[in-house]
Amino acid sequence: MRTYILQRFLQMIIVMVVVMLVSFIIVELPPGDFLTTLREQLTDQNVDPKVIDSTVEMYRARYGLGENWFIRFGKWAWSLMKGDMGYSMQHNRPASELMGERLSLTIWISIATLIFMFVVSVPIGMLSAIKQYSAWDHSFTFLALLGVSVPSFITALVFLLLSVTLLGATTVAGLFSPEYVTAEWSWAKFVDMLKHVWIILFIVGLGDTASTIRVMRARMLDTLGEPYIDTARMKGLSGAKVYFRHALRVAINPIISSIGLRFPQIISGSTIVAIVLTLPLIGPLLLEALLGEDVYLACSILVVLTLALVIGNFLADLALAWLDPRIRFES
Amino acid sequence: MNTAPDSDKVLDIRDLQVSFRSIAGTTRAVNGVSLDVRSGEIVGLVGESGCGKSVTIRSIVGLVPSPPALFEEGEIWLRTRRGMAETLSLHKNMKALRQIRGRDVSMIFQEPMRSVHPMMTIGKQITEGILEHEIVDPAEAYDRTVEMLDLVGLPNPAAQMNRYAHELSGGMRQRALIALALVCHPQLLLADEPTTALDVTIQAQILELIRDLRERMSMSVLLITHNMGVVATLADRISVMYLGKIMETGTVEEIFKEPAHPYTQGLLASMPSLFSQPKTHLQSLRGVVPELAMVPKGCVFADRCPHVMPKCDETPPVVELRADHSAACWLYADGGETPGAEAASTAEPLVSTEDTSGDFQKAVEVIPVPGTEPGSDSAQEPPADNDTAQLQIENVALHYPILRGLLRRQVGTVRAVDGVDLTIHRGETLGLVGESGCGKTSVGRLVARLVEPTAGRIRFGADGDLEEITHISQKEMKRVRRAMGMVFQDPLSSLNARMNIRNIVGEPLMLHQVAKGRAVDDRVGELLEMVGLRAAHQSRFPHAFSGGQRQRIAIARALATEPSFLVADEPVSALDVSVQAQILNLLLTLQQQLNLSMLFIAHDIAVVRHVSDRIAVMYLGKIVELGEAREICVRPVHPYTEALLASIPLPMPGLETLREMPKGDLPDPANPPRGCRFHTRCPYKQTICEQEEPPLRHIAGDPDHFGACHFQDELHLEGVEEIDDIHAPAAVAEGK
Amino acid sequence: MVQNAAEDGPLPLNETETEERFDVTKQVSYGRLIYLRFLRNHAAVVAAFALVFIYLITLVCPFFAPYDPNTRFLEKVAHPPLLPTFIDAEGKFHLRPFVYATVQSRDPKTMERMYTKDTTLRFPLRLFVRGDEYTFLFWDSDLHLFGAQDSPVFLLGTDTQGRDLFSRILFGGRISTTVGLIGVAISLVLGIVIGMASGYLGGAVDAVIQRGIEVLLSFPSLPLWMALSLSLPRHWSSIRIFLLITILLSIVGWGGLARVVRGMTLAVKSEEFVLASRMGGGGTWWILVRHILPTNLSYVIVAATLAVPGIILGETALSFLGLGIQPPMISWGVLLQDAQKVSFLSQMPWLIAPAFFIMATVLAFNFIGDGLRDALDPYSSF
Repeated sequence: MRTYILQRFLQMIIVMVVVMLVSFIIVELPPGDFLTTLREQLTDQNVDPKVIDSTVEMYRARYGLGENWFIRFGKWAWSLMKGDMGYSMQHNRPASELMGERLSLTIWISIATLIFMFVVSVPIGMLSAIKQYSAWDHSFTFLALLGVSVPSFITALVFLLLSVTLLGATTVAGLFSPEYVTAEWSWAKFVDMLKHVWIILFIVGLGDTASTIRVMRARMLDTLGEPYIDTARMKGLSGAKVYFRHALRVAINPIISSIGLRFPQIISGSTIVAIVLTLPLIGPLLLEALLGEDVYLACSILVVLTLALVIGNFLADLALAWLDPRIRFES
Repeated sequence: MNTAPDSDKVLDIRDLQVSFRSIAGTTRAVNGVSLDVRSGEIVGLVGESGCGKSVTIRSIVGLVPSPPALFEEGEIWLRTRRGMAETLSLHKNMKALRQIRGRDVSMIFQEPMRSVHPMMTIGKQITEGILEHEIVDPAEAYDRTVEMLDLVGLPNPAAQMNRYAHELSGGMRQRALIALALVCHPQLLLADEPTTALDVTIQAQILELIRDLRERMSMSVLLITHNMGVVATLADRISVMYLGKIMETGTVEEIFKEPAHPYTQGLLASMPSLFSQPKTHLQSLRGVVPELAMVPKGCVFADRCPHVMPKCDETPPVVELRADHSAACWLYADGGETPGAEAASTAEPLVSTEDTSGDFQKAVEVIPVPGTEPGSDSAQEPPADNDTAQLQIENVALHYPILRGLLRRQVGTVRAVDGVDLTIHRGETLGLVGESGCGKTSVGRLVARLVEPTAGRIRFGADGDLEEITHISQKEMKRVRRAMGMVFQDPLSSLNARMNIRNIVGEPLMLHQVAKGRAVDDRVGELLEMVGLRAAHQSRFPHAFSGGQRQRIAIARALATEPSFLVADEPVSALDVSVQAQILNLLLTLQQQLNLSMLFIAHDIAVVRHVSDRIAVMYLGKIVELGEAREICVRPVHPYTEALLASIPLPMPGLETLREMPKGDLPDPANPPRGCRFHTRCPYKQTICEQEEPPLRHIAGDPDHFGACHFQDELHLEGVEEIDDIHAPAAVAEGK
Repeated sequence: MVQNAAEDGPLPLNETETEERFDVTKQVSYGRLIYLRFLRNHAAVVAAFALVFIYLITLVCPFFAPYDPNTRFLEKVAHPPLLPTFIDAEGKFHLRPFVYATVQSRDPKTMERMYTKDTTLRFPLRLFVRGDEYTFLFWDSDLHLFGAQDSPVFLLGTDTQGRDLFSRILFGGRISTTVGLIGVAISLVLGIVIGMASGYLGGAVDAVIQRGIEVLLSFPSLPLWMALSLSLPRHWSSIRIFLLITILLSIVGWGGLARVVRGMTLAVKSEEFVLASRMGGGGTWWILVRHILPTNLSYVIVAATLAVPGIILGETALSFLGLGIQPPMISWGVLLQDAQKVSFLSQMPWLIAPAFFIMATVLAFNFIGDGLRDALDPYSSF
């Protein structure tokens, strides 16, 4: 078990380094020298030429611009590891400051969506398999296919349309009631968020929930055909015990191991939904950074999101190893 | 009929009919089966695959999902602790059914590897059963489980409690499953092919265990299997099933000594046994088991029956031949005194060895195989060129690294083949026998360089001197392979489903530029007719053929480039008994006809003995014994060979072997024991066996018989005596 | 016949005949078997027809669209959908469907535009009318499938600049649906080549490729696309941007396909028919092309079918955010940009119409993919 964790951990570190490298290349990819762009932008913003010079110089030193690419990568990666996300040219503030709450909210919302996805899809998928070809199964099979086909930003748009036409709303429903938007975090604000958040979870999680229902149903059907289920039935166990104690345990494994693939999709979904519904998540900031060619901010966001995913993936694997003795004992 | 049976019966199935509904229509899987099991009795239900045995046995405990199954008629009475209960009517009453399952009746399944829950400890799985049925505290359930694990012969039972399925071998899993099934002391154990997935030596252990537990726990057993040997060793009474119907029922002695139904006779005759004349044609049933949708009217066996008569268009009655022996056949319809009955039980063999079949004559020009001629004992006469070697391998090894972890470090080596020497002479068949994981398949693939040897030399001579092929290029190898053919185990996987037969069989022709265009069609047609198929079928796709027919196609492909050497890797182990005999006959005929040398690989020593001139016995990557086929079976010199022979369930009831069974499991090939590799299981083990590895050397007084045992010249091991006057049908038919 | 027992021989005649009589599946090829199974799945068949229809009207959009996507009807800005009808205001039935003329006015309170029907002026719909000129595959024409003389027909209304939304959706669909196909084609080539190499060669090649795909799949695709789209030079022509976006989407999308192909290759590699082919003299290339590729292909087609929606949605999402297809080129995502603004949406709810075209297309692909997968399932009975 320990070797397994160590192996997975090493693997995670390698993936992280590669992710940072890829992100760095993406930053480097746009044509044009970054410092020139920066200088132009700052000039456009009527910044004091002295400040411009010092800022440009700061970047040159910090990121080793003009040096070899791997030295530049090293410096950038090092500063990132220290928690320095770079500096936003658009906002003239450190990126970490801008990201702060948005980042943690994004990750929390994503985790909540993941939980929502599990709670909704596992029972539905399981029941569909147990009652295969029943009306329940047919309707949820169809609904799931529908859900898989609707991208989250369209769900968000439809939601917008409905709230505008049916409820006559003039502003977009956000994460909070208006009075709490700028308020400090408090219990009341948290409760207020809970009131609003479920619809967001539904919008973001619909596609993944639907596809998890499909996976769960298929896995459960496979598992119910396994001989060890016959063994369990022959003990005289009740249906519920067979399904929950014996079948579910095995059938749910692929779902847990697919977290690693779900999580990126949920983050993607939350990004665009946040843009459509102007939620205080990381998505709008990323879009803004991209449209404003605020490369270091954009790149930091990408890296941080991806690293969060990689860590999530690692944790999912640990959970799986803890649940499944076959993996636990492999090494 | 709606009354409970007498109390002596533990199980009474009356006229059971089960159908399955599908898009294609309704097919009847079980068609009026009646069967009973009495107290303390082991009843065997035998039949080929797809005959409805499993559905029958699963219907007893409601394990057949309905829909799609329809229970159209019949009653199943089962003795429970609350008296006789009709279980078919309980299918709707899950609660009552659950109380019966595990407590009054239990079941063990075909695939022990997949029948144990992978994520639950063994202990938990067994105690769960106790706690479901009895009000006991967990500590007591725990103790009883340990006791039960001990009873089924699992070493160190307390430690097994916390282990998971993947930590146990197949044999140990089956033991654990038996413990699980019997922990609540049911009166009836249903065993669904309990040993089919296991190696022969392990099979022997499990059969022994079931027999032993029947006494100790005073229970009855209903055993279903396709293996006549297994029922002969274990059962008291037998029912033979074919296409959803019981063909014949009787005590084990009667069925084996005086089989009445032509199907039973055919089944027994088509089994190669350790007593049959080697290299002779087996009497096979013609044709194949039809699909259920195409079951003929009247007698379902009529299409394949040698005694078919006009009356067979009507359903035959079940005729009582004697107390406890009945057959569903028109031959015995009028009181059992018809000439047919005599024919069936005495002199005139119902199945003939002569190739009088008009159909077959047209398709294949049959060259009589020496052994088939009456009175001829020339089967052992060595074929033509005994001295010219066609294939010689020296000290060949195949080692796989075991890689682990991120950096793929090598943490060990699987020594699949570990220094093997073999020579195959022109026209000779060398049989290679051993249990799973012994490396026999790897030897077959090494010979054709389908895997690259780690060490050693391989020399092969297509039609002249031996040529070293160990390291020649793939291009050179292509030329060499033109003289080699290979037949694989799984007829399903060895034909590409996307190609039609013409392209499958013609592929070597095209690759070697032997033929092009129309010429390919013609040659494929010839090849198909040679293996007993129709030339016109070459436009069809593999899914249109049955397993046996597919294997014929595979043989046709292997022979397409007119090779002089054939590797047959378990060519019959995936086939039904009756079809197996057809394929063995075909291989024997073709070998004679084309003067092929053959490396015949199989796990069943009886099959190997039947077709081979010499036999090599393999154990954990090494050859432990090598010699003339009959000699090895009669006078084995290696304890493993003896164990292998002793483990084969013989289709001769009452012929109890008193020889020592091999103990324990096959060791891990990645970590073979030091010294003699068999010492962990050997009953004759001495200290030297643990330290020194015995070389393969010829035994005293016989330069053609080799063994790899320290004590081969001292031990007196028991083989299988060839008995001439035994009432085995194979032997009976052999004489004339 | 009685003594016919011993030898195996060919199948007895009667048996073969029964076979042929009972089972049509015996004679047909594997591909045809799959086709027959697919036909049993009605939803998938309907989806297949729907998809053909969608591709037909979007690819030949200049003919099916009544107007050029950039034709502006200045008096008809933000016009609601006007569906042709057979029954007039007095309840009289007309064989030829027609639309009424509309008159623009403003709501006296909110000052919002309003259109009222003028039931005195009927404009019957006609087939094959002459209208805006276009060039379709080197072929100049001004023929359109339908239109009404003297009055515009807005099936789905107009946008803020008075352009016919239906026409724009068809033109936008041309881009969006093609992105899906071209993107999947690129992914497919990458996926098949890399996946087969990974699976067949194994060893270090396999390990490196697999780790690479893992990294690729651990990025959240949309933010990655967004970041990558930044590298596209803004001053490039829209057609080049379109191609680059497509390539970009498929660069992220091939990983999944490569995994499918690798898995299949591994499974097939150990099949005995591959060994048999090697025995028959087949080399690596022969085996890959004659055995492994055809065996994989059907599963790859399923995976590809199910991958098209992802790419279409990727393009739509990127364009929707303004990072993808750039005006004047239109795609469904570009069209949805307007719907993003709450104020527009509340006044012109029909602006969401492109979303339904996206959903229909994606749903059709998913239904077909599902149907194909079920048809390929070796365990499904005929």
